[in-house]
Amino acid sequence: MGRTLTTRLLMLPLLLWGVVTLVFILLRVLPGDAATLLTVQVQSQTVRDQIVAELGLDRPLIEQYALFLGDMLRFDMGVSYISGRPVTELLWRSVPVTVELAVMSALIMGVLGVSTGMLAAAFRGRWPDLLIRSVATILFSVPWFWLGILLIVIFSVHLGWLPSFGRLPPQVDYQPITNFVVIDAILTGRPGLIGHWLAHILLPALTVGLTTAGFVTRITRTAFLETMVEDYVRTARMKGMGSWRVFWMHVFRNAALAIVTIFGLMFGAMLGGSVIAEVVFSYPGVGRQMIDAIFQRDYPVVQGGALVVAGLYILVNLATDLSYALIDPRLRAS
Amino acid sequence: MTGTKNSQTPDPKVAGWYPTRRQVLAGAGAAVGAAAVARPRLVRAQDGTTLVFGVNSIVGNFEPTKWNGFGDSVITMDSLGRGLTHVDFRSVEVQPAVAESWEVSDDGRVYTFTIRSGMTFHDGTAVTANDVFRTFNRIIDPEDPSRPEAIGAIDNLGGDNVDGIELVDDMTFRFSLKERDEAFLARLTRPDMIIISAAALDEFGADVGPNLISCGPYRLASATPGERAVLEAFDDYYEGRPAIDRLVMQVLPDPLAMTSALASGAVHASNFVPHSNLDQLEASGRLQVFKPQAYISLFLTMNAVSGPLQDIRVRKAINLALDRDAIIQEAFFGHGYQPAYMSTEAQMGYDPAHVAYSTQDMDQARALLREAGAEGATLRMHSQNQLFWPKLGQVVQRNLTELGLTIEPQYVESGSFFGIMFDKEQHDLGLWQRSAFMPDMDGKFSPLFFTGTLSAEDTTAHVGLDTQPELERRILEALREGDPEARHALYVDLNRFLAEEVMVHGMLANIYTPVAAQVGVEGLNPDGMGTYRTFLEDVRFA
Amino acid sequence: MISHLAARPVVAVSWTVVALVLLAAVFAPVLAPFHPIEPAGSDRLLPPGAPGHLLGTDQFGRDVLSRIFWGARPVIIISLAAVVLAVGIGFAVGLVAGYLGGWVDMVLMRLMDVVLAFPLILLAIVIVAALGPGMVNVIIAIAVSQIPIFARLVRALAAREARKDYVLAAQAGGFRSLRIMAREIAPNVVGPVIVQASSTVAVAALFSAALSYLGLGIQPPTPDWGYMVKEGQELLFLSPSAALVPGIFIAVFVTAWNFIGDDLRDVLAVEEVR
Repeated sequence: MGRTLTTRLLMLPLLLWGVVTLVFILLRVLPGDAATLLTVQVQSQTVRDQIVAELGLDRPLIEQYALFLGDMLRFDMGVSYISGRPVTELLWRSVPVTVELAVMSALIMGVLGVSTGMLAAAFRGRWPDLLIRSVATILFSVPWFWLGILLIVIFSVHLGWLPSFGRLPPQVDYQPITNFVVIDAILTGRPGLIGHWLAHILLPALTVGLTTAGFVTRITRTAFLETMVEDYVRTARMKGMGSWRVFWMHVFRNAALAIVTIFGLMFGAMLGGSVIAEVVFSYPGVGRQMIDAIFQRDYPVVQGGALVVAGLYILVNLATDLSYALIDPRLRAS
Repeated sequence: MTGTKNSQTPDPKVAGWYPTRRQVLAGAGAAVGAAAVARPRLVRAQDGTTLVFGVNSIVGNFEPTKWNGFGDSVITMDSLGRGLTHVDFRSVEVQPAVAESWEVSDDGRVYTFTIRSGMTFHDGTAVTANDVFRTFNRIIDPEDPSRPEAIGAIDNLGGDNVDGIELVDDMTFRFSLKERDEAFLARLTRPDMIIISAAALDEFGADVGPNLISCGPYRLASATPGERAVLEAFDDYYEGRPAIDRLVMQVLPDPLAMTSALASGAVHASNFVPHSNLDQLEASGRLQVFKPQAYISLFLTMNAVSGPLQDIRVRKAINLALDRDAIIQEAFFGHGYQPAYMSTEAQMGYDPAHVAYSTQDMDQARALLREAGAEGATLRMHSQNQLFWPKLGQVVQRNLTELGLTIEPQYVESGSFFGIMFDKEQHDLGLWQRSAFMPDMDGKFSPLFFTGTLSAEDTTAHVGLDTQPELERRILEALREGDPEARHALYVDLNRFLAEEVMVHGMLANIYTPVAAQVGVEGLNPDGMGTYRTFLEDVRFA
Repeated sequence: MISHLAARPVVAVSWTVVALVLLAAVFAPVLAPFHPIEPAGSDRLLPPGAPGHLLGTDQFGRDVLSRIFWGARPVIIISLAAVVLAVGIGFAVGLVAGYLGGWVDMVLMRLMDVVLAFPLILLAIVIVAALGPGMVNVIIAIAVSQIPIFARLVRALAAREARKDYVLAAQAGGFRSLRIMAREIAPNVVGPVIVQASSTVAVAALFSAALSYLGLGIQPPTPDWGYMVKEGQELLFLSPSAALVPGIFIAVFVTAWNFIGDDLRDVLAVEEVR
């Protein structure tokens, strides 16, 4: 394990290089450029040529790529073509927002998925099992954006219970320190912020959480069913161990392995789901920022965003493998 | 301008964010009664009243000379800044602002502005001619150290027609032009021409955008890209402090999100409301919906160097096949006006007789197409894939299919759209608009028709037509005509000339961006807002 | 087969749903009461249940039911074609990597990691933006984003099979790599791939809908369920059914495929794919 971990850590920069290179190439294939968009209002060819030169878009691609890699090596993500602000600043504004949303979605997904999965396993073959499995399948078959629209119509427009957009109410003054609302609320002694934040994050997180929970339900159920028939569980039962004890000591621990794995795998889906949820709920995260940047040909923002998002994804998967090893001592030894 | 005036006006503080259970849908009354129990605690503005205004984007850069999108460069800019001159769009008349008065030389080439005395910037420094000089020098002089990259504002001043600027004395500033430009005072009303504090330019240089200091009714408090900009009333605004204490420019890019935020009361006003929901919003009794003057021209561009479109008979046939009634009803739900030609009713050069150019006549259209031998031709049609554009495209496609053409539509995101439309090899027909940040008609003619503009060279690509020298002569003639009535007559004739001799734009509709506000919000200027110009200094809660 | 379906009514219903959507797609010209693109010659925005228009009409006066029938075409074509393409390429990549191992495996799998490390929906968005919208490009975009999933799966299975006796025997017998891959390994990998493919059909349908929602998918006026939701969303206050109805059709179609995938997993006795 130790060796594979080292290899994988060494692989991280290589993977990130692959990601940014892929993004660099894809972006340059897109028709149009930022200079065109910046010129639309003035329409002058001379001005467009001047802006193209100022952004360095007239240089040979290979030179642009070399400059870009050089900047990346110096941890310089550049300046947004469109907003003229440093990409690091823009990402600092948006990435924590998406991380909050992904974590909240994962919580909803996990709590809902694991509990329903365990219930289904306990009632194997009987109607609660069938019901849970059917609902789970239906939930992950619903288009994310459609569920989001439905939630807005029901909870924001009809019932008026929850806000339909944004991260905090427009009237609330929030100057981020870490840009994680919960942490900042504690740091600045404003617990009221957390309530607002929860009210705003609930619908987008539900959208992502509900549409992904079904996978966890399924994996949890299978994992429990598999471990329940393993030899050591039978042995423990035969030795007269109480069923709750057997459950927690053996079954839960072993099923947790499978569940943790699925969490790692699902994180990618979670980020993808966040992208759509951010669009539907006008949520100021990195997904929406990247879509806007793609549409505006704001290369530095897309490249920087891709680097951070891919980095997050790879790290979470690494962390998944680590926790895998922690839960299962057999793996640690090998 | 009409609006629903309802006597039942809610307390502005209670009308804060999400008052519950708006009965937006006719049948929504059946909503669960428990809603009232769960009513969230209302947020009190820190001090005084807060108005939440919905915009489509905020990137957090208020550099006036650079295009940062409507949210930063127009909507917010109009509250942050003032230029030498001002126009409120209720009329197209240019009014004094930072310039108290001006004198124009007899040949119309020298403008001498007297700066308003006693005016201050948001940083407390007095507004002087030096600030004005610094503001324009960074637009004109490529070597100015405070000049940002990727800006194109010089073109909005008339390009190289600007001969020079001069700091005459502390309160006097002078512009010299190479040729007479009757649109010049109107150009100075544009949001990219607002005056910036020289102290701020000294401090921030080219990076003044996120820290803009100007002299408008509100000053910048904070901005979060993609989320919102917060503005505060400026106590020393020269026309008096606004009644609203805080103005929040809230980002809501999605049309549904914008509509539901207005319906639920979370947003007080916006000019980014989809046309589709206006009547329902108004019928709800909670919102007032305005029908302002139209300054925006929507048109179908025709690439004059592409295939059958090289023949003006084909272009005219296409123009005659367009069903403006269907467009206004189906794409804009009735919120638009029948176009004459390029001038809208509020603008110079409008002639009701020109409606004939933009009236469907299928028989004549078919005859022209037959005459040109272009029946059954296949044409590409490009459009943006957001907002009303795809709806518009579907009606246009239907009309042209009926005419006997085969249309291949491509609805693409903005980056691809502009990339394609500025490359004459890649498109035939395109759906586009020209709004009026300044009401002077030259704002539509020069940028769309003059040689050297992307539009004329690549979009309609008409610069090679024999009519081009005459077209440019007429544009310049109208631009240089000092007498308003004579100038109007020249623009009427220019509209006629374009429709009869050039025909590279088929007019689709004259529209405004819909303006909606909570009942009880007063003092809005819908005529300006209808063409994005958003002046909120008089806004208040009843 | 019949007894299996009789024992599992949900699966029977799912296959029926898929069959119905397929029939709707094939026979749309016959089934649809009105032309899907031209106005039905009556009022705009009629509610569901209006005389002659079971599901009402849209803002252009087009019959919604007819558009639902025609809209089955892109859904079926995109989801199936994207999966076929993804399976084809993913299978090849995975098989080669798993069987040959070494640096080929290393390079191919790291390439797949790179693709996977970027949220799939963003990748699909960039690809469609680069290629331009339209059905073929949507298929390519979805396929590319799903290739790594099949490549990984097949590689893992192939690597396992490659160490088994029968393959070693074949190698010892002097058979060429390609032949061993095609004849010996591939058949043993097919089961899990079919299971994965059936649930990927569901994913592809959702992706296609999401791309349409972002305006990057099927081009109007061609009827497409995802785009109908996008168009209907703006009319939510005017005519709520405009967005709800096509969304329900997508959900039902995708649900059916997911149930089918579940069932295949049981039938083919494939472990959960980890």
